[in-house]
Amino acid sequence: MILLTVIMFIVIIYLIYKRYMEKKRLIQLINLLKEVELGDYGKRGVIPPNDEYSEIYYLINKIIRKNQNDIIQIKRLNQRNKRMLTSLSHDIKTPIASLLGYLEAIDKGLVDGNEREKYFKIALDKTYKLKEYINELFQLLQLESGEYILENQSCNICEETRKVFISWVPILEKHNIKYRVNIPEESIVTILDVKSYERILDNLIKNAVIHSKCREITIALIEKEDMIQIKINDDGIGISEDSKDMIMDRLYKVDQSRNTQGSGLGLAIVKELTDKSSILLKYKSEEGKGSSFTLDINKAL
Amino acid sequence: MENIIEVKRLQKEYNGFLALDDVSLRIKKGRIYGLLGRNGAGKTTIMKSILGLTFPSIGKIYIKGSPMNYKNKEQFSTIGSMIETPAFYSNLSARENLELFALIRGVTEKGAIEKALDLVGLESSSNKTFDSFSMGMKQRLGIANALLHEPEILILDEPTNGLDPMGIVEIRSILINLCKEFNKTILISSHILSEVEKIADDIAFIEKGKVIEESSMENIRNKCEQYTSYVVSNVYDSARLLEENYDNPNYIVISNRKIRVFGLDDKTNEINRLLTNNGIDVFQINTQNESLEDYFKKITGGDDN
Amino acid sequence: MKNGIIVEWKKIRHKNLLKTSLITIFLFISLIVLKDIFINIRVRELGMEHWILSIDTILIFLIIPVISGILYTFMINSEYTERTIVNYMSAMVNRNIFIVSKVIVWLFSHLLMVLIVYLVTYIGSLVIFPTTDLVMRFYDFGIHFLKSSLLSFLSLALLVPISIFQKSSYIPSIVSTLGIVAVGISATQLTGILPFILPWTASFILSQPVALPRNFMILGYIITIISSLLFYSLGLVIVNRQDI
Repeated sequence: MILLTVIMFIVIIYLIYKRYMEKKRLIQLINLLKEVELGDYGKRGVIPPNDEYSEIYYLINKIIRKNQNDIIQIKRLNQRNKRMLTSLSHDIKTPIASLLGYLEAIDKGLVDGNEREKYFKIALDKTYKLKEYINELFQLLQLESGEYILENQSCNICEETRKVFISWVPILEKHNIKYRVNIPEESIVTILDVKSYERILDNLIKNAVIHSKCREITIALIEKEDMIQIKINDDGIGISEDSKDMIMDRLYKVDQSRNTQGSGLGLAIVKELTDKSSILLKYKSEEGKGSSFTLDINKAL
Repeated sequence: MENIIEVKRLQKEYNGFLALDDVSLRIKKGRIYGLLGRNGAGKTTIMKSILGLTFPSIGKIYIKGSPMNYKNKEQFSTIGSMIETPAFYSNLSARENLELFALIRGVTEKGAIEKALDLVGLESSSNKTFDSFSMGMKQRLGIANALLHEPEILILDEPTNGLDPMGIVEIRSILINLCKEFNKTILISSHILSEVEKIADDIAFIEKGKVIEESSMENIRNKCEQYTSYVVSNVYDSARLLEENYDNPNYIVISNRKIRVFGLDDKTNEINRLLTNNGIDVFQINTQNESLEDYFKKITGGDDN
Repeated sequence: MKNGIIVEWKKIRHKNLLKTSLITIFLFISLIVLKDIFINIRVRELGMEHWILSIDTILIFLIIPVISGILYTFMINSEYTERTIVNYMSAMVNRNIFIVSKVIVWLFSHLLMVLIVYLVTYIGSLVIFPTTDLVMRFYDFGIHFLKSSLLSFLSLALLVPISIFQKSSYIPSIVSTLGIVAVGISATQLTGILPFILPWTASFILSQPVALPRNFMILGYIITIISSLLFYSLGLVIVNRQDI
């Protein structure tokens, strides 16, 4: 008899305990959700894995975590955009300020005769550069926002590559830069957005000539099993280890002075274009020794 | 930025020995806070007090604005820690040890144990018993345990102790990543200045149970900025001239020929002229940064180990 | 709480100490029973009650408490010496649950030890004192051993505060274990109301399968239960104020 009452007693205690634990878990959950609702996405519901509420908690945590990640991404993007804005406003304000300087000097009659002609020429030159910069910027933003649509067509890649390089020869010769071209004579046909491809080559060569200040540049086209590889090597100032990851960032220039010709956008555009065209871009560089950019283009059938 | 942990005027005595003397700290959310001090300075005692393991005789501790209650599981479910040496049960494996902690504290997702072991690089040793672990592996397990329940606050006592150089770099990058990416707050202690320097946003120097200085790393770096060393023929006259001509000049006499002037580094020419005009030979002028180490030695008045 | 108990059990389940203890006890009781079956013929004359009494004295109130006390000392002590208590307490938070879980797992281990004695004694008794009523004897033995195991467990309650207070040293609690055992057994030398006043002698006397004066019995039970509760509470108070 006594045994029976004791057993019943224990059962009742157990049931009360279970109910108590359930309530506790629910209250915990409510508190957690309240705090998350107020915007604290770092909070998590912590629960032992053998608890029957564990699955609910895990799911809720998953949702909170995803929210937190999204917010982190947005914050990161915002920070990047802020930095870009400051940097770009500088990149545009500076040439405009200098442009105004020259024009105001002309307007105020501070120069005359040959000087005046010179100033006009300089102002015109600066305006062209600014226009080019703004165009590039616009293209880059278009690429990043996904608005640029590739127009693929079949073409002879050797011919295209040669064409681009030849257009640079006068400039190379003017700057006394030695060059070597290693492009096969035969026709290799593949499918490309020709305009993008020309742009990529243009920017890579410009980078070697203008930014890396090379003395020698080599361009080679190699046909491989299932891809075509274009290599552009230069012996310029190269890129240090620390800067390697950042050069594709639209804001970054290895040579810290902002007064060099062209902008930091060239390589950023190359990166965007290669990403969009599924061309693999690789680069190697050693500070003081030179850089090497490689494009791997899939052979389309 | 709110103070996620606030320590107010802690005092702790052990058998007549004053372990903590009027210690106050403010730890801000989402930043890495370094407690720097020699062995035995009181860093571990501070951390134990925050975690409710040790009870200070005087003083208050606030976590997220509420008073620290050593019995409140909710309050501590958002804190992960590793205090003193990483201590686990020697007859159990790494995984089993973490399972224990998962049972009593709880976790936030399925496979949390796997994730934690992966993060610190112990996936392959997870089934070996703890007593067979090397010091570095024990340390890693300690960190895995601290991270097991995705806490918002990490309190780590000398986390890189016993790790090989690769391990130190790994752990450092893990911690920095946790702070920058996930906005976690991290309190670490160390007696190695270079470790703290690389990672902390804020820092407090602890010596003999007292907080010598508490400030952001930025401030300290600014303070450690330029100084100019002058090698002169007469330091005392030079010192006098500085005092006479500048408002509260900050300088120290290094030897009987060298005087170091902090700040005023844009006035080196001026100072040079001042000294030479007064008959003092200036043999050398050198402008450089005071290293953090020098600063530490200066404010704690001795050699750090 | 439930997980606290699960964790404490996991901590000692594979420990050599637990395994050795159980094996030792098994060996002891087996030897005694075998001795009584084959060597000590007089046992049959003295009767079963006397036999149970002797087993109680040697095992339930001598060997098992000593081993159980050592086991518990180790359970608490290892946390301090290996410093796992620092790590564990940061996660456990509620120190009361920590101690209570340990005590419950200790009780379980203690009962396990008695279980072994119970089973071996039961089988031995069927050989030495044959009977047809197997179930009844099983039940009788069960009640008896349950009672004496609980009483011997309660008499060890003093170890709870001592083991916590001593932190990483283990000598005070080992000495106390031996002391408790010695005092407990000395109950046979005491007469009158005296044995019912000290909790350790009371638990010894109360577990005997003999008739006792009712008033004394009630006094004994009250003293045993109240004193053990006091000791447990003292342990909890100490652990809550302790700097780890």
